[in-house]
Amino acid sequence: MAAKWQDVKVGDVLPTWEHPAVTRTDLVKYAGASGDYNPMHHDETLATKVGLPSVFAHGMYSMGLLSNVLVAFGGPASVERFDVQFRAITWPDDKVTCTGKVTGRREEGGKKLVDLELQCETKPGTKSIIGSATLALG
Amino acid sequence: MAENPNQALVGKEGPPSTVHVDKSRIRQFARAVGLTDPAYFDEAEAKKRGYPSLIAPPTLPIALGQDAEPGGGGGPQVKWDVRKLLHEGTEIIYDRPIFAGDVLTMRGQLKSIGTREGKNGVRTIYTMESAFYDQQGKRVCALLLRTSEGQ
Repeated sequence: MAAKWQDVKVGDVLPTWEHPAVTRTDLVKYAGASGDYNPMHHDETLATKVGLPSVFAHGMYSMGLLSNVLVAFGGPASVERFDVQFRAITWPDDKVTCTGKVTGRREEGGKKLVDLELQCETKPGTKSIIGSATLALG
Repeated sequence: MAENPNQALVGKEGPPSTVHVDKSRIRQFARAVGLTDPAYFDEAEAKKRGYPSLIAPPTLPIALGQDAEPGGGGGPQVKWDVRKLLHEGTEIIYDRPIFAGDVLTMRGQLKSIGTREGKNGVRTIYTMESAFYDQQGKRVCALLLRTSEGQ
């Protein structure tokens, strides 16, 4: 069930969403779904030829994983705004931990809004994404 | 600093495109980012929630460019060195949710050019916008991609 606006408080921590280990298959699936066929995300031969240890994840794949936190908290139709900055690369076998926290609660234009602070971590202390979002709740 | 020749492209749009949002793309994309809510997969369940059909995952707009008409929906061709680019970030703004069955007009433009201090000097940040409009011309969603060029 989606959170109710009246029950939300600033400082509330959202349920964590985790992907236990990114696989190369995940990246191929995301390439097909998004249409982003940059070979650095699926072609190991090319990636190692340019000096990378392996292929790496699309930034937008991580943003997609992070969207699970929003949908689980506010429901699929709640997203008003979702903004991320990419801070570190996500590699195959990384565990992606997506978290969020309520930073604001307000009414605007007849909408009951909550503001969130978001992040993805790939290792303790390594933030691959920091971001923010605004959700409209019922 | 020398004038950036791309400055003349700010505010310029590429040719627009019609984009049909379909159920297959929504299901495929939802699966690829690990979403499991039935509203992304099961139309009967989506309708029970009051949606007209399957709802689009929050980051689906990034994928809609591939469903545009050939040559349409993109922004102007920015002159940059692809080897020096970094994807800095993305912002998605919704005026309303997107649903399967929506027929949208996609318009791409170079929204702005800025700079930031990087580890190895100043990076130029290009913000490209893809905006999606309904058949009445009302904006539904805007996708802003920030790409930087530097050393």
